[in-house]
Amino acid sequence: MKNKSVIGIVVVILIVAAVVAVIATGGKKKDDSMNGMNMNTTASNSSSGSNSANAVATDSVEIKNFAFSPASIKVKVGTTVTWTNKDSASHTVTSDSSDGPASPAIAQNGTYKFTFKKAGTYNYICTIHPDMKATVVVTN
Amino acid sequence: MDSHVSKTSGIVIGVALLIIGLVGGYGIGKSAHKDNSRTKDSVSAISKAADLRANLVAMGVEHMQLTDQAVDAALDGSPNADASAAQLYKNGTDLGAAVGSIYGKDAEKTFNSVWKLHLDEFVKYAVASKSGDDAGKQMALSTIDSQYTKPLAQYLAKANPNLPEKTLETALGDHVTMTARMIDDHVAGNYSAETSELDMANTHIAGLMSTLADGIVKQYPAKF
Repeated sequence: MKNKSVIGIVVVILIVAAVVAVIATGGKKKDDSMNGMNMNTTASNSSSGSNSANAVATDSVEIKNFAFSPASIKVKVGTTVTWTNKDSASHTVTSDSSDGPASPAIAQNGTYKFTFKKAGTYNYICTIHPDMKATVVVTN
Repeated sequence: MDSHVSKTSGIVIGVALLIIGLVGGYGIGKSAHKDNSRTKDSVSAISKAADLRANLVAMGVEHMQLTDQAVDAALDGSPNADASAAQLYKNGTDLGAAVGSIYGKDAEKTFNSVWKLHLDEFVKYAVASKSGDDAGKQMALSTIDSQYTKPLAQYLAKANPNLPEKTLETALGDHVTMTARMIDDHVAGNYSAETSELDMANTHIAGLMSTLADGIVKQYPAKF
């Protein structure tokens, strides 16, 4: 009878411990995955509003209705990309990289050309309208 | 003997798991608490910067809407012309107060003076446009360029090193061009074109205000 009580207590302790351990581990995993998601979202937002995975292979970008189109392009090193402004408002093509494009204000129907000499992902914005974001992915 | 060892092992394992579970749970709880407080600080900082941006954008868009409303009312001889104009000028001083809250009273005074000038000159432009006076239109635009666009761009760039003068001058110049087009469209009865132009002007000024807000936040990171 005494042995049965001891075994019973041990079983209860084990079950409680196991439940606590499972909850603790599960909670941690959940937190980690949520942190990961948050970090990814932040990184994506801060770098660019466009999706590099959907980059279009082209060397020309149109600026229309306060947006760069395509928002994400891919080119090879040495390619000269041309931006054409179709808006009545002026826009700039300004990269966050010193190796990237840094245009003056481009007036309506004006163009700007830039040759990419280094591989990498170049995020750029219009400094007049900073919510206009786009990306150029340059590969070797 | 074996049975005793087995029971003892069971108790030891059970207690060990319980301790691990509790300590682990406590650690996670503590860490989660830390994360929450850090998130709270971040959200507060983001919120102040976002508030500035949202407020400036709202005032900028309001400026365009009121300009369109006031100019249309004046051109059409509507009874609400004076009230609309008063609201437009008040929006200007609200913007001036926002500038003053960051750069001081002198800055507010300068801003209000330059801002009012561009409103007054656009009244002259509208009158000239209605009467077909091209010289009068050009004179108003020239005054706006020399006494509003250039000095305001220069002033803001000097006040904030994160705002390039050339970019500001271009952006303010575009704002003037769009407003002039809106007036001409209304005078010509091209209301659809006027609405499209107003839409563009709204987006443009929202961008310009975002640029100003971002530059201010960058200049005073501790404040925002």
